[in-house]
Amino acid sequence: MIPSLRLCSRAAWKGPNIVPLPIQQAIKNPGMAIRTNARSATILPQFVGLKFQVHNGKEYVAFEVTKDMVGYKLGQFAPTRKKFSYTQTKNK
Amino acid sequence: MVVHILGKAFKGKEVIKIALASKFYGIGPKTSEQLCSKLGFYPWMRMHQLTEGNIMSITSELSKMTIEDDARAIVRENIQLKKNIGSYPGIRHSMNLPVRGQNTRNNAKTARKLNRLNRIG
Amino acid sequence: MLSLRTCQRQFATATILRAAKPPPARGKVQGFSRKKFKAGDKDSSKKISRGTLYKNWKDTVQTARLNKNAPRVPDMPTCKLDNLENIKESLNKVVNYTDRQYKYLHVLGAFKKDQFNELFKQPITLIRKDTTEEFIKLIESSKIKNYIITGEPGVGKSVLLSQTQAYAIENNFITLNVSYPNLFINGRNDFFFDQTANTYFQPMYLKQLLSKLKNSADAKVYESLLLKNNYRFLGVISSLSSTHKTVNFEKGKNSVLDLLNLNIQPRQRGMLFQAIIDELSAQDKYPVLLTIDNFSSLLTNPYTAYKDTSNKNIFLMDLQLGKILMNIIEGKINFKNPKSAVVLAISGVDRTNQTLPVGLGKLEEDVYVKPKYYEPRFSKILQNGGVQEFEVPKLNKSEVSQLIDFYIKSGIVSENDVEKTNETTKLIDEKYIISGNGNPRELLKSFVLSHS
Repeated sequence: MIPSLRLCSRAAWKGPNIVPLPIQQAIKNPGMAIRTNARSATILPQFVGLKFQVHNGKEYVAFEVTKDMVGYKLGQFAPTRKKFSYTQTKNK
Repeated sequence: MVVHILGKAFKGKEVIKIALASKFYGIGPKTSEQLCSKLGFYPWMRMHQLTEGNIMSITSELSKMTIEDDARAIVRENIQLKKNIGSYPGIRHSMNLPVRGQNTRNNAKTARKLNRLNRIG
Repeated sequence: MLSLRTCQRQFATATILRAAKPPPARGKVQGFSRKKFKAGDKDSSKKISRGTLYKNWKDTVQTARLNKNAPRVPDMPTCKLDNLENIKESLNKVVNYTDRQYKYLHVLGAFKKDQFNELFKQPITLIRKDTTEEFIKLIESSKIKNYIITGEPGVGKSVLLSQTQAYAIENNFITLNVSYPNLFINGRNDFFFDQTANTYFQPMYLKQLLSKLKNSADAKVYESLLLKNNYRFLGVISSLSSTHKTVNFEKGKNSVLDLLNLNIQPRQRGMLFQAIIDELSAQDKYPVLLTIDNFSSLLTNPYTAYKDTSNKNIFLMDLQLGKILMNIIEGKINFKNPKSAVVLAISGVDRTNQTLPVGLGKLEEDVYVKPKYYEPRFSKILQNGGVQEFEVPKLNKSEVSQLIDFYIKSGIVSENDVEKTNETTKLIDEKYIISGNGNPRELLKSFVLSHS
């Protein structure tokens, strides 16, 4: 995590964007995934090792938070667009 | 008269603070100005005025900094990290596309040229 | 001929300039150019020929010696400018300086590049009652010897300064002139910190200043000034041996001329300059005149472009030259001879701030103003030195008519304007208004830039 980069995008006095998530429960029962729509929630150090399912507009993308992800937003790991690929037949 | 610093050739008439900033990756106008004032050069001193000793001291100062390949390696590391954790900027880098939400319908020339995991520029 | 001299100020390139091959420019060609120039080599001069375009047009105009092509104006009076009677005789007249004055004024750098001096055979000057006579009277009789010349751009501040210098030359003053103080604060000359003197020396600039000082007075003046102290200089360059040697000067035996003639290593030149200033202030044989043109550039830039090792801008008073000049103004360095004077002149086009008005007591000090707009240390210096303002007024109508007469004689007035001279008063009235009610530079521009 590069602190200065984080500070560039958001005013320092606001602190990280903290969203109420069921972290305590997830820590208690490992294996439980936190399903959320809060794409803009900042990944805090407490999240490391937990499983998330983040909404991308259509479905919930699952991933596990690692140490390097701290400081990023949840939404950055759930891409919202599909890459266009050309297919010959329409009814596929 | 050509002056050589760390294997790079400078014309004699070049102003030191400008020439260093433009020839070395990782050194900008600010750093090169700091370097010149640290070594006691006057602001508009030119390359042909440097003595052997001055060139040696510039070389030793530069060798303490992260410039050229070291600086490029840092950029590459950062991009690689983003790719490894699977974040959006990392994906966009690997696809040679703009990272910060620019349009891609047309152009995006700079991104196509530069954005890659093994970034050169 | 007419078109050549009058079109030279125009920046349009269409005009064809027909110039005789000008003689070589003064001095050596400096720098890192690959071409090897020899002093006196004809090719080293700047030429103005058909279709040439110049980057540094204003410099070229000054150095290409275009004035050689100017016709000689018959019966030009010469003013010696050495005492008030002389000045009163040629009051309200356009005059030449004497040959001796020209020689020394050129050395001092009194004739500047934006003064249109190339239009005439020699730089001319108008002796004015309001400025020349008044100011010389002040310098001669008043107890206060610290003046700052102010006025709007182009009104003749620098000209009054050079008239003062001419007066000083005739009266055997030793003149120290800094014509462009910006040159030692803009970071284009070398500098280094000297541990023993605890200031920054600027050898390259000092070399010029010292040669200016040496060549702007007769050698016998300096020769007659015997040293008051012993000096010992390291690093003197001699033609006989390749190694530098140490030279001792004894008091009462050697003269200031010996100091000025010394060919010394650049790193020791600051010490030499300090010694010369000490000697000049200790002697009372000759008065010393310090003149600084464009002084406002010092007042508005207290922090120079030079940076110390921690990359902070250096304060002007930390530079040796800045400190010496300011000390002379403040009176900390006192020249023994009672006739010694300090004359400063501001530049009309420089940025202005509150430093000068507060220093002159025209404005209340406001301590909450940002440093960019007010430098209290400099105001204090001006106050301590008792610097008085001398404002240069605009020309009156009779002076304008004198100038116009001279311009017509020297052939720079276009035919259109000359036709109007059937009604001279009409032309004078018209030009008086065009020149912004008597601004000399605007007046000259209105003639010169009207050619097409």
